[in-house]
Amino acid sequence: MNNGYLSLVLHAHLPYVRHGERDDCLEERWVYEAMLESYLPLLMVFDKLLSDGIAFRMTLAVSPTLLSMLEDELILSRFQSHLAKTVELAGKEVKRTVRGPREHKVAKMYLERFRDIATYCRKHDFQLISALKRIQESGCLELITCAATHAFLPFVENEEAIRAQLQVGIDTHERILGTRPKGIWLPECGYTPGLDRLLKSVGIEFFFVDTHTIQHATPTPMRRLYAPLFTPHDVAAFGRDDQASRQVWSSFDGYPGDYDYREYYRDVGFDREMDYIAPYIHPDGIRVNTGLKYFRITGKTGHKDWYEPDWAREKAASHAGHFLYHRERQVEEAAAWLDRKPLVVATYDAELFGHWWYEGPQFLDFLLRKIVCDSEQVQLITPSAYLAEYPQQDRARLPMSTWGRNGYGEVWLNENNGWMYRHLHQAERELIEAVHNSESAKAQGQIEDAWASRCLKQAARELMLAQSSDWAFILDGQTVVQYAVRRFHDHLRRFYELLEMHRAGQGAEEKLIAMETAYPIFPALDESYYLPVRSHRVNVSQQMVAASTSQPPERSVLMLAWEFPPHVVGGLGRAVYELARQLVQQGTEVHVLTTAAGAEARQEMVEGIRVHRLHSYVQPDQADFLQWVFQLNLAIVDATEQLLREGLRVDLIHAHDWLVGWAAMELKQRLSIPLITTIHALEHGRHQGIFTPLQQRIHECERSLAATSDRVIVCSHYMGEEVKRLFWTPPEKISVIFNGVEAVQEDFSNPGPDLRQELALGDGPVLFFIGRLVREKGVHLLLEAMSWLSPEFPDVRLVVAGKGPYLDELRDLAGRLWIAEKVRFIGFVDDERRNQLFRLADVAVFPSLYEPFGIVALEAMAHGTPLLVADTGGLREIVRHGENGAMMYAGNVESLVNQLRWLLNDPDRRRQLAERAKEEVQSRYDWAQLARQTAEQYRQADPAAMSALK
Amino acid sequence: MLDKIRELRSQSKSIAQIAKECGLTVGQVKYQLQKKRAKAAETRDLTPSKPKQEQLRQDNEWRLPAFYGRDVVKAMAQGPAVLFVYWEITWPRMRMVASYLQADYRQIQKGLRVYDVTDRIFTGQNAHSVRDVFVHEDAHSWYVRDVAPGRTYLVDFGLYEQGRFCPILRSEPVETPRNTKAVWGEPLVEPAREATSPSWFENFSSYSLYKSNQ
Repeated sequence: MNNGYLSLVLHAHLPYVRHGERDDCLEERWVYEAMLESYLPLLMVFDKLLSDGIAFRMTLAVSPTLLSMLEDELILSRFQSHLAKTVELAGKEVKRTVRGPREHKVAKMYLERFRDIATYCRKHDFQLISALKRIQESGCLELITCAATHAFLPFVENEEAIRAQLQVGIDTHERILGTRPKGIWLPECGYTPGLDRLLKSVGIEFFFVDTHTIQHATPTPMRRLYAPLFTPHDVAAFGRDDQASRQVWSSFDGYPGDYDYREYYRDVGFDREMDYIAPYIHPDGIRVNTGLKYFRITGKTGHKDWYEPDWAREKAASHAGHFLYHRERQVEEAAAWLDRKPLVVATYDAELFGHWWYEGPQFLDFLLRKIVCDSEQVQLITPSAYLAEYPQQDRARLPMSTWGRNGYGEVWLNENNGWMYRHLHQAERELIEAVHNSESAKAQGQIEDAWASRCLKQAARELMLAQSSDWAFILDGQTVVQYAVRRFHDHLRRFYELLEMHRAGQGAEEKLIAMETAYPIFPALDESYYLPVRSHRVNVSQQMVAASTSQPPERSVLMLAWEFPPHVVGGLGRAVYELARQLVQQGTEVHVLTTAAGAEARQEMVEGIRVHRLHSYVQPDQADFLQWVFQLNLAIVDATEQLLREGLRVDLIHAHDWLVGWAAMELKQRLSIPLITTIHALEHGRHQGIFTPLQQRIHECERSLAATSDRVIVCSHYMGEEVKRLFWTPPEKISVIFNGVEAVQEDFSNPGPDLRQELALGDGPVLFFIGRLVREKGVHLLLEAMSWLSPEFPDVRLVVAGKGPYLDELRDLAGRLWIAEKVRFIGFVDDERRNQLFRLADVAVFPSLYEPFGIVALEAMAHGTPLLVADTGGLREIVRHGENGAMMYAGNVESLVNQLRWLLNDPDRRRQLAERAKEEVQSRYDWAQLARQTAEQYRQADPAAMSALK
Repeated sequence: MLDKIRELRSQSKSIAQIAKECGLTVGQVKYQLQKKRAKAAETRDLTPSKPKQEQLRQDNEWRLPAFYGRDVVKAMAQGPAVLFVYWEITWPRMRMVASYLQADYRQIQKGLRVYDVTDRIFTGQNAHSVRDVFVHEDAHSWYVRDVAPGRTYLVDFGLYEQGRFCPILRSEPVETPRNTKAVWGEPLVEPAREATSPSWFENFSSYSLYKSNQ
């Protein structure tokens, strides 16, 4: 009864180096050398073990590229010639070395060996694949797969590309070897968190990682390396045992460095004179390895002694015994404390056995026989069988890791090869996009195009071949650099040509055929493996775009506004909301891009408006104002690009104020569509001039935006004049469209007494101001007027609603004027309260110094509140003194006092003015009407419309 | 001897290891490799030219496009302590930035800001630590060394205006592997429930068509 298990795992891989177009490719020789020196000797060892009735257990991973080459007729026929030539050379060598007995012995060994191999090949008709299948059928050899082209998966950007590598690898394995693999050898044992999810999704049950991956797992594994670990998705990870590895791998103190073993670096290909060896090396005279080497390692110095096959054989046997002995001790020690039979996993490159280490296959043969026949402690097992015996494993998270130099990604990502990844990632994205678009076209009922499909399939092949980790590996080792670089380039160059041919829908058939025959790998490749799996939350904007493309609206507008309800600071947000709402109802599709303002970034439909709330890289409190505004503009541009990629069509851009100017101008340039800007307010006016560098910057932004826009909308004639004056905007570019006001619902629940009581207003007349508390609103004038009127109207009270930087000063002023108890500063009020206050107030007063429009005045009018405003800016265009309200001279306290006195003394007159005002508001400032005017501006901005008019 | 060195190198051995095995000094090995490269260029290279190492590296890239017209900054983990960052800033973006900064884009100092955002949903302010790395005007990639293992990082590519950092592009997060044993007492790992979406951090992403806007 054994104490524990040993799993031997070999990984056989070569990059796809079939070059049909020439027969003198140096790199293609790798295949023939590997076949002759490693794969065939190993197969023969397995074959012999089976015929001797030794029931061994081994796992062999054969990469899909290698499988593809081994089933390729051209490769096999070339190998046949290679083998024949080698036998011929061996024959010549035997004749040549007749006079040196030790040399001669070695030469005869080679001749016999190659003849044996030739016999074996002829027995299987040179079909290594069928030989392999036969051995698999015995149940002693489990075959597992690898990624399609041995791509280094941790550095692949997209999960779709990773999944394709896995799927194509599995498909190829299944097609060629007839069974679906249960396990995989990750290229270079390259694991990264999340890879297990994809492995699970393609049906893989286990994979292999390096020692430190297990040692550094979280939590620390209790069974250490002696049992596999489940990753979070329940795929088993087997860790390579470092002791078992080092004894074989290390050319420093491992078995292959033994002095009796064959020296790799003294090959007759390099030692013999040119005219003798010429037929057996590269036709251009480049010396290569022939596989015939006469020397043994002998020692650390350059002196080499003759190879003695019998000594080497004995060494191999003793090393096998030594290896087994250590595994037995290891297993014995572990079994003492482990709660199950320990497993030692020893993994090696298959090419080590026979090619680098000539005696490797012999060692393996001895080892397998010893374990099966002699060992009582250790039994051979495959990982699959171990999982079947112990289905439960501890679970842990594994770090990204490889079995490469220093254990991580340094070999495949360094100064020599780091440049490759940006190209690979870009190609991945383009292929996924092309496949996705092709699929969408199909879903919309378009017939599948054979040409398109062929192009995509071949493009996928080229991408996969470019993704081979071998190229990066070669660049790291600086061996056949030119070859690797050329392969990488050629594949990507062809890839882009194919995508172009795919986009064009047609092209030169011969070109496509030429590419397909140059690299005839993965004939049955299914490009739909590159389709994104709908695993993430369904994107609302996707839905929105889809909805819009199904029923194209009359016009599609991108509306840019820095504020939008519920995040509003001033009037701009509300105005944009009202406008957008009406436009949508009138058949225009509106996409509003605005800031998420610290809340969650999201997309939503608000009364038919498609609102996109965006995050920027910098929060408002993190940077200065201008920088934050710029960041918002970057976010707007990025979001627009994304929407366009998703299929959105935009006819024009409508920007609101300078804050979105950069994005507006940039998008206009990129998309070549009209830009309309609404200027709600000017910096110049806010402070009655430009005084600071920041204000100057803003002023410049406003100027640029006005100049770049195709049309400029302002809310009052006053503003129009300002824009003309400050920016020299041509008058025909400007149009005046008022801001609107919402129709007021009649609410007859009388809140009057409640509010009066709540705010302790008494029974006297109530004056009301609402707005941002900044100097330009002129509230200080109102306070002064209050103090003048106080003796005459002792019951008058003033309610001031709103917030702003001027609040403290105003409070102070009220105190100094001895009217503090007559004034209520109630801060921000919501819409409901505001409406109640309007209804309650006897006069709404807006004594602004600067007012581009004055939407609050309209609101007062809409509520039937008698109105007193300063005759400035936009207010002049809303209020006509004595007709729909009263006006004071802007900035003039005496005028304010007079008007207030007049209004307070004449309630009938007040009511008359208010009624007239209310009627007007409902007709002139109706949002639906204003939206129609805006849509007219859109039409005018559209050059197609303009040319139609001519 | 030269061949042995070459073969050992192709087996991923470091210069020091090769030196040890061949009984040479590190300098001697390096010299041999230099000689070998020149020799290889002569004998193995079927093209007539003999490019030097530097030129070879530049030549390596010439046939592929230098730019793809897509703004991107991507961070990759080379190992526990080294990040590799590559980027491309398109001309339209440079144009926008130049107009904001009112300066020639090429004159402004560029750099990377590396945020440690382990276990956090990054808002721009809540990184564990922040590190700035200046990069050359002509650089399109950079190795950021001495980052901590087992952490999640995010990189902003941006400009320094008057000593302040203005980000213009942000990378996806990337996780560096840990290189030490886990601390005692780490909680057990629950099996992941859904196979179609990630429940733990993953170092790759799904094609952005299906990613939410953030």
